Amino acid sequence: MRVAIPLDGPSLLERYRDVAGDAPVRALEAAAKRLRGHRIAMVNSTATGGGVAEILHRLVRLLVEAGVPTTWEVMPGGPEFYAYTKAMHNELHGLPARFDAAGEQHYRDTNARAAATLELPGDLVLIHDPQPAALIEHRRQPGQRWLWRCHIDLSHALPRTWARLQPWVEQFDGLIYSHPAFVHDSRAPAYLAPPSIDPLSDKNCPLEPSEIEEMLEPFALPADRPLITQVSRFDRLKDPLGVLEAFVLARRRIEAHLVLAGGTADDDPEGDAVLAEVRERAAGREDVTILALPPDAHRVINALQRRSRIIVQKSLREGFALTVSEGLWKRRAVIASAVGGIPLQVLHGRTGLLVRSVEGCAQRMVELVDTPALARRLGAEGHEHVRQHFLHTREARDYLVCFLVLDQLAAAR
Amino acid sequence: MSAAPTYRLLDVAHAIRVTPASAVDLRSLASMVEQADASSLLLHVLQPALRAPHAMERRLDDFSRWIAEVLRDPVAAERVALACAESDSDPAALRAAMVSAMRRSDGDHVAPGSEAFRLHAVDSVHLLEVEVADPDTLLDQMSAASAAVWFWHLIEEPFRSGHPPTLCRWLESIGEPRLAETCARARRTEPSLHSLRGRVLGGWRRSRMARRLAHREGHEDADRPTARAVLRRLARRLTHADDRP
Repeated sequence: MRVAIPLDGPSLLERYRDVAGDAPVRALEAAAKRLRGHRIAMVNSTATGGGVAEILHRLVRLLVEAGVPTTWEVMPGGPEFYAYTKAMHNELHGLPARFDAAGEQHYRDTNARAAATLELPGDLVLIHDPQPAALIEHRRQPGQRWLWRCHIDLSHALPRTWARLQPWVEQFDGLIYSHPAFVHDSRAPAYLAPPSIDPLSDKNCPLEPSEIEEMLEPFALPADRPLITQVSRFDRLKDPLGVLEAFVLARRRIEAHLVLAGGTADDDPEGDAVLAEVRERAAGREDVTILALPPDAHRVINALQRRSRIIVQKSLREGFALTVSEGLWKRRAVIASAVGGIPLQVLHGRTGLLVRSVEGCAQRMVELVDTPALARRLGAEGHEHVRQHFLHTREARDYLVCFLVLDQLAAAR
Repeated sequence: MSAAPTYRLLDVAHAIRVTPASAVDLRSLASMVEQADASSLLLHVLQPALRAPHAMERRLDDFSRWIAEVLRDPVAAERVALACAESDSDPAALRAAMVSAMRRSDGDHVAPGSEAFRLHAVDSVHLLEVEVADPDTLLDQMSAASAAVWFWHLIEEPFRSGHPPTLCRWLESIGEPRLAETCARARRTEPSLHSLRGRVLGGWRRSRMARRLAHREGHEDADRPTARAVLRRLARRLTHADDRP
């Protein structure tokens, strides 16, 4: 099924240029110019819901406007197919799952059927995630270049699941991962393209001060002291209790208010327990606000981040943690753990401060509250860093550059 | 009569490729570097400059940063950093200097697997190409160009070829040895791509200004010494004007 991307209305590229400046857009246009005459077909397994679909809605239009005709096909599937791919998804994240004996056959059959019906009107094919990976077996044409884009954190993938996927992954001309730790051995060259944020989305778009106040009014946050905020699911790996502990230490020396904001994921049975534990630990403290937000509270999160002096991301383990880029984009000073993809976003001392302990986090909170000029400088550099490296324009360009590299490699053979 | 040679000004994009090689201690790091190709050395030693083009100081290479932060061996880290800084214009020399610096250390710290040094490489593709025939056009184009363009022409291209920058050789061939020298010196001494750019463009603009002044004062086709003499006279006049009560 082809996803219709509306191309009317104001140019998305121009809106990006307005918000992000000329350089990221020009960089994308330069790569697109080299691919004139080519067409890209993107394939994933859903048109709505989930980060990949969200990204593709923007990326496809950006690419079309930049001059590379791009279409987006969604691979249809049935309940058995989704049950199998969900189990595969969980195991690729390191969580053991039960595989129905017939599941793999459903996976193969669904891909074979989709291959017979999907339009792939491109010489460059970009497959997103494992669900449509087996299409390559049926649809690859001579002269085409096929890339597999893995959005999943594979750093804890169970070997048996990777082995299920590998026969198809091996057939691609190139693979794209978000982070070096996610890369698995394969014959095809693996490239890195970190994920990115959309500066025009509700979560990141500019907000007027009056709108920020209006959004946050229901929470009665203090106006006379700096806010220190962590926006994250209530998940032990995000260490909300560690943030609270660090804040309590820091409060011996500074006036500040802590906000722990987030929701609990449907697929995380521990979420409610962690939230209850955090609430219990913070009980009686007037300098701490705990917000359990609905999943669509994007503008509230935006307002909260913009109103904060410091954004914290004190995770114990992370995939990429784009909340860090979201904070940096809003010119906030960020304190974050040196785990997963965070050090790519937080260059210590330049775009934020990296910490490795509760005590380190507390010390940095004090430092940034006491030194607003430092917080401003980190925020300004952080914004520039995200502008250059973590916006959708860069991700779109990375895909184009990977296709160009594959072309170059083929020509050199 | 043959036309003056032109120069191909390129815009460049990079794709980071992951390689299977990794290291957990100085010994395995040295073996890995010994086998590393120029693309990997380029990425880990020279590209930090492109990752932070506005940095105030020279960015450390990835190897010595990892030795300092993960292996916690500051002595080896400093040795490797020096080897990288002194041998960064030729892959073979760089490789040899780094390996030698790593093998001089007897540090035995082993990094946990999750903090292993993973070797990557960088593949470059050329995007746009503009033919320029004179330094004015070249620098007009470069003043609007991204850091990647400066990186390619003054750092990456000479590193990959193992020769001085083609850009400098072209400038010499069209009678601009001083600009060539400015570029060559700036690539060695400036701490960041931003300051390199400022040094080259600033120097060129000052020299242009002198020539334009000389032209206005009636020295058609002024050579550089004449232009500089005119500029000195103007400076003296301005200084005297400032001295007046």
